[in-house]
Amino acid sequence: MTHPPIGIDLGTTNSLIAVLEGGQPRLIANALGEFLTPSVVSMDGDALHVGRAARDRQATHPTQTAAAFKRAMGTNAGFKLDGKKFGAEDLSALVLRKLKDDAEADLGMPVTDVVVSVPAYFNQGQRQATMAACAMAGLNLKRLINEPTAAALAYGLQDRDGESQFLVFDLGGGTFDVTVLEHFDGVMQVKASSGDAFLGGEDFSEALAKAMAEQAGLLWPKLSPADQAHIRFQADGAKRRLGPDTDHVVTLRVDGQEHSVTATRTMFESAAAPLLKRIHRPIERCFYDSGEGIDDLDRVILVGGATRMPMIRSLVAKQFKMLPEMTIDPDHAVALGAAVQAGLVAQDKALDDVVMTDVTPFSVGIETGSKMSDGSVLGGFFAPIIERNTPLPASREQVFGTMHDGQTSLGVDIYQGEAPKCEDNIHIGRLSVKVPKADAGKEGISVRITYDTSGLIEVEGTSLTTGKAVQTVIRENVTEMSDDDIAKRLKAMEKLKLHPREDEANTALLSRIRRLYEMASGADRHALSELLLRFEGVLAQQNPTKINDARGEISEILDRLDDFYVS
Amino acid sequence: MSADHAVWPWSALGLDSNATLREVKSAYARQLKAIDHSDPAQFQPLQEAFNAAKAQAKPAAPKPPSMAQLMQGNDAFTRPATPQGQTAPPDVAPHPAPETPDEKRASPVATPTEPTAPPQAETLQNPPAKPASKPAPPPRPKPWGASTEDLDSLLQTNPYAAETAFNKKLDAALHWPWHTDALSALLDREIMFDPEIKRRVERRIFNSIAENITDYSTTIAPQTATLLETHFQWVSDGVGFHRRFGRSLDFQRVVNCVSGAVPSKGTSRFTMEQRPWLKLKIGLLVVTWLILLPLFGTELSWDDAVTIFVITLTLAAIIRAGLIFLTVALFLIPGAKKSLTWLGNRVAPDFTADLTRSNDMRVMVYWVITAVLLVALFALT
Repeated sequence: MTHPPIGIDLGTTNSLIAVLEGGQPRLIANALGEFLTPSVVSMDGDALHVGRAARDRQATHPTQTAAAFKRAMGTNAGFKLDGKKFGAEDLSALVLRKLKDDAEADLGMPVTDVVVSVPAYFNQGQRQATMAACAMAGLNLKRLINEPTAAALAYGLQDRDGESQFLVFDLGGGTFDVTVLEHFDGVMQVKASSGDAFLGGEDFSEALAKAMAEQAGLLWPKLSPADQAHIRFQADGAKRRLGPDTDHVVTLRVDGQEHSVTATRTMFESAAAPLLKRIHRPIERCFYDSGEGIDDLDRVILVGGATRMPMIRSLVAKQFKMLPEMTIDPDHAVALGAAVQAGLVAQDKALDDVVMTDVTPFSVGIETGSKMSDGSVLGGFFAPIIERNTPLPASREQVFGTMHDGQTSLGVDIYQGEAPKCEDNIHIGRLSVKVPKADAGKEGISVRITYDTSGLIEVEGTSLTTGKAVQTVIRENVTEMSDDDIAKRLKAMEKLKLHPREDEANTALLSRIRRLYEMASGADRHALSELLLRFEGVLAQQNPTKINDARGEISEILDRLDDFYVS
Repeated sequence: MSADHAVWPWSALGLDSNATLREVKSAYARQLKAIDHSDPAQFQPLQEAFNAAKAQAKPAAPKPPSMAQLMQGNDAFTRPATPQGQTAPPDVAPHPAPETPDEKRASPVATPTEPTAPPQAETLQNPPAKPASKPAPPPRPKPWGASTEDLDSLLQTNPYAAETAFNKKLDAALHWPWHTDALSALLDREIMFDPEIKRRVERRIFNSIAENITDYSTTIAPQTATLLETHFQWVSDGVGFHRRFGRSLDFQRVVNCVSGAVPSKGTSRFTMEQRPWLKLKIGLLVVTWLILLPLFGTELSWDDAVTIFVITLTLAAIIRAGLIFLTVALFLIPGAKKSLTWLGNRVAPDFTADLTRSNDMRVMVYWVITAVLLVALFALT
């Protein structure tokens, strides 16, 4: 049985899954009835919580909980949950598995083929880590799509016959992307894309948290991870509630002491100033590379939860001199667009007249050297063959000559990046081409790099005299993980029990009560422990309707408490 | 191969050469839907034809002004975009008159508003002067007009005056040797959000370096280099820098003096491929070990152990340069054996006595050292 096209937005803070039905994307809600599943994993004995329950456990069980692991994709960084070590791919795989379960419950059929979105500015290593995570979650990844492009597809589908030139400003939880696109006659053409893979809403929360700690007279680096998590959580709440001229008093409890801190907009703005600076560079690069100016833009679209910050909106309005649009919920646009892309890949009939073309965000080239007049050799220079922001698929060729007399082979080291020196770029592969013996410069090879729409890079080196070619395909196998490894880890992951889905709403509520208990003081604590007892009592009776009623009632009380404590 | 050959763009799109932009776009869209757009051999020529035709096609109709432009009609930014590279006058240095002619063309709307600007600007400590109307100011009297920090608020009320004041301050800051602090403050201003102005500033800075550093041995101060890197990424975005300035005759020299000052950070936080030789080298080390060991048999003397230890470190040094100093240190210590025994006597006299007596113990210690070394090597790499 084939399922309808599915798209996944695997975010730093939240993840979503959407399905394409009748040419229109629709988000799938999780067991709690919410579209946003927090990308947080928490270990509870031998069971794992993913999503909302895990996020609430972050405050109560910081050493058993991992969040924002998307930032570590493509690195060897490990996360310890209760002493067990997980990689960023493992944790992402768990989130993907959770989303898959939700989709299967909603659609009533197994889900395998998906399109997953990644930040446009993810490099090859980070993309491969995402591919590995999909494999470990038992998903068959059809295509990776760049997040801003996905958002543009979601917007483009609303207005199929429109003609416009627009910019997608995507500030997510952990990454920042800017993309300039052109939309006409059903063609969605990306002109340039740039970004910062380490800038997002989480950085703003962190900056505010540090400022708050400073105001309370606490030294941030000296705080324990648990205290830091607590302050970060409070800062995150304050960030969401900070209006144009409203201040928020937050109570921080550190080492049994209470510190009252007033979070103001000015304080947040000065703390975030260095981050705002970093936003300008990718925008400039994008304009320069696309050859467009601000005046050529018709619309600016905001995507990503962090664009809700008034600071960001006013920056965008100032920079582009127009009011940005958010007609689609900025948290939803990427997942919706990923589902559209899944439909395009599956050649869904309803999308027959829609075509999307994307660009490569990084230059790909090889290492070269040159001989100086005094005979010394200077090496390590990066010669880009496919420059960044080239429309994909692309295939380009350049000829390189030998440097020494009697040289019999040329080593081709392939790099991705923008720096003039190879050591600052990312090494992605290598091949060696044999050439007949001759004097320096008399023999040569042509190097052709082909970059296809699914992000696969193929390099071919051909000797000009013999015509013999050597090829290499750069994809999964360059990472340390082989298919065997993935299969092994897949097995290991299957052993990890996800918390039962039908039980999720209850565990989420329990975690939430416990989290509030940590935050609360005095009489409220007492009331909360009573709530906890009451709810556990209802759970023990195992009467679904009663449990449901109690859950609704308690949630309301908790909402009020939450408002009180974070504001 | 066809992708590398030039094709007449209009014939590739099935149009004639006086097609409008609208026609070019729809022809491109039609063809794109018809071809297999995952095949570069079909996609690339079409793409190139589209870009070439688009660049030359007549726009179907002039674009209506955007809402924002209508709202702030007196904004000097509404001037038509000028092509990159032509906007930077290379010789603006000492005469900070309103910059290029096309600005003047755009300014008639802006100029009349200037006399009315001061009421709004009353809150500033220094009145924002009447810069544009008096074109003959003294060349370099320090800050006149608004202070650098006030430029942001001036930009809101009177963008044209802000730009003029900005340019004057830039002239002052770029007077060789630069006033780095003043330059840093200027580069942080909101006026730099305008990509066109930013490019112009970048070109002025480039020219200033090119004029004042004429040899290959001088580099700029690291602090200045960091400042330039923060704003223009000449080093980390070498590809973009080359696109903008690659044709300048001074390019190599500027690259040299800037990149020499910026420490190469190795921005690649992710290396995808471990060096493949590493494991081979470690394997070689282990094999050497196994061959060496029987040569000594059970009659392993202290001297042999020390020798082997030194060989190990040498081999390790081949693998990791960081260990070289250790090797050297060992070679330099005269009588490594004596010093080791001395150390042993101080730290654990009983154990050392055992060691000197029992050969088995020596072999064991030798193995322990090997094991620790190998583990350390694996851990380090």
